[in-house]
Amino acid sequence: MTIEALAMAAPYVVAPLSEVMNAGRDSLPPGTTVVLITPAISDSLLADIAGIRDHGCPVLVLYAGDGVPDEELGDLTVIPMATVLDPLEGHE
Amino acid sequence: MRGNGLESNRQHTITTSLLPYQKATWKYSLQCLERGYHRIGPVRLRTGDIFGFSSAETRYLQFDDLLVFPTVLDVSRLLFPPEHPLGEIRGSNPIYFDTNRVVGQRDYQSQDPMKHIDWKATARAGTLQTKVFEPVVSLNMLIVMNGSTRDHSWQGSNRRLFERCVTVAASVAGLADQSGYTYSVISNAVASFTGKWINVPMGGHRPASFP
Repeated sequence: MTIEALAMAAPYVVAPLSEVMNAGRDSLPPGTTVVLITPAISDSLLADIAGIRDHGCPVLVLYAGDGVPDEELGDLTVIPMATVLDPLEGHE
Repeated sequence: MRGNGLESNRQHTITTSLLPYQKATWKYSLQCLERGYHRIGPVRLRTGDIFGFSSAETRYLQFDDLLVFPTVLDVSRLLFPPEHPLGEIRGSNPIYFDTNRVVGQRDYQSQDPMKHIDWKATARAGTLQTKVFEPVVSLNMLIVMNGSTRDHSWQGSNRRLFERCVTVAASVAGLADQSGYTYSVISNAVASFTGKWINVPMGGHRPASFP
């Protein structure tokens, strides 16, 4: 079901990410690891991440943009995915 | 043929001549090069004489669906070092205790339940002793995919970056699936032809749903 849902994903956004996360935040089991996959990091996204961490959930950010993020991210764990994604696109 | 994403419509036309009561069959092999939900159809049939004096047309409105899965990569070594296979999930404060696994005793404290007192250890020590249980941490993962590839929605969407996100999300979900973890997937991106954002609830996935 998961991969089917991802296969059907279309590049249109219907709501801010914060709204989507807030909708299910209260039903999250305590200690759930949140893996956030994002192609860009904005101030609003960082605020959303802070909200999740305040809820008691550790956050791991997988950066799917090009290269590495430019923003100062403090103690946030960010893993650039370019090393595995670039070869798919024929990049060095 | 209609594809998701850019909702593109591609028209395929075949022209042939048939004798009376003759049948024709066309078979196609499709290469699934683009992830997504694709609809094949509808079909429009048009016939006429070679001079163009008469013609007839009919439509078959049925669709065939084709779902092309995203690429799933092996991200296990990249994401999680061996000593933390679930990332940072193991916290310093245990949430639940497995009462079947006693790992030791400690001095009784006023908030300890009476049923956790180890009476044999109490007799040996001469003071009340409480059983210490092995902590159990829930193995849950929430995969959040941000479908916004630009800072502002009016700037449009970068299809290439979006596809990268889908690939990573599918790869992480595949890793969680193979490892037997409970996970869910949410995204602010829309699911094709539904108008709703993607939301696969915790434990809502079928086992072995990944290739």
